[in-house]
Amino acid sequence: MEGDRYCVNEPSVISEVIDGETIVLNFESGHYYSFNPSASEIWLRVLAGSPIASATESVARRFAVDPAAIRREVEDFVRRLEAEQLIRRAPDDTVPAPATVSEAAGDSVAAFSSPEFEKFTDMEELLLLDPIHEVGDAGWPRKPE
Amino acid sequence: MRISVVLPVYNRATYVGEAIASVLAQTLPPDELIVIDDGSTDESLAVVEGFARPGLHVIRQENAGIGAARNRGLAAATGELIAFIDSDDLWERDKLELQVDALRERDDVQLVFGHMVEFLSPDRAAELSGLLRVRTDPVPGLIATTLLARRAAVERIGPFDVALRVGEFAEWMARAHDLGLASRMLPQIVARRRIHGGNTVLTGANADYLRAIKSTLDRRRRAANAG
Repeated sequence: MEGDRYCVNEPSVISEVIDGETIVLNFESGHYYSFNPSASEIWLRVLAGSPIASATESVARRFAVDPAAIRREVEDFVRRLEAEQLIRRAPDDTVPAPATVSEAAGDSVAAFSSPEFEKFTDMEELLLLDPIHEVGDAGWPRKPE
Repeated sequence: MRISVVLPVYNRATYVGEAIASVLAQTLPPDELIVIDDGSTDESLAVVEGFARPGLHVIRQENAGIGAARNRGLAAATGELIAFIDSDDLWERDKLELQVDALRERDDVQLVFGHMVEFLSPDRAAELSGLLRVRTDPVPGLIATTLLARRAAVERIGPFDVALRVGEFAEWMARAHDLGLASRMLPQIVARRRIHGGNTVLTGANADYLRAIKSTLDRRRRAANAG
């Protein structure tokens, strides 16, 4: 899995770091998420098109832990993101983006905690209804079976 | 019970006339219709003024967004019941009558919604057909256009967030929900939402959904810490 690359499930999924908190919204489900710091780091690496191994290294560097010790957690977390349909495997022909994600420069090293998100479903009906969906080239949103 | 209707409009000269006509055609007509022209640069104002009659109030303001326009309308509204309609949507003729009956039946209910259907605007149908999802089967309408609310509830919820270009209604409803205000969803279709490709939510600004969410999360955390 280490060499695998993923991409954000656009255009259904949008995200932004607001006041230091990573918020992710899936228009397809109406669910939204708040990511903790290590989860945010992984998310930003996925956004940048980095392979999973590079996300692991990035988290390890930021929290000053041994990459080998957290590899499994990072991979498990990436699988959860995929299960939530927030990300999907990057097509083979995608060129990895250069690592443009800025390092958390100057930040003091925070204590590592496992990547985690809080998932919220309370605004599902409102969020599902509110956006008027464009049907893009990718056929989004998918027509119900 | 007196009913006030708040209709914000920004550059929707093509559609706002039909929206107003659908309000005026109600089997239970409202006592006042407050149109806030949010700095339109097209013929919207002229179209609205063409409907001049007692009970129709037109307020002009510099362009400030849909939240600010609705807030301006709320400040001017005198009714005990408040309804909203967006300038490109249409009400069914018995919308207000059904909802007023529903509020009379249940004193505890503060907000009444109803089902809605979407339609592709006839003037854009040829170019947009197949490009946009149009929900032609009735769905529960949790949008401003389908709401009739008691004034006291609207005052408790507070103003719309003027910083949000989209998601402002979801954020407002999240506050209503957190206040524990009882709402009811009528099974009948009360409104038809026009899909025309220029809908605000299609023209970018999607990041405001994330800001609406962040603002809701922060508000809940403050409440939890205070409690």
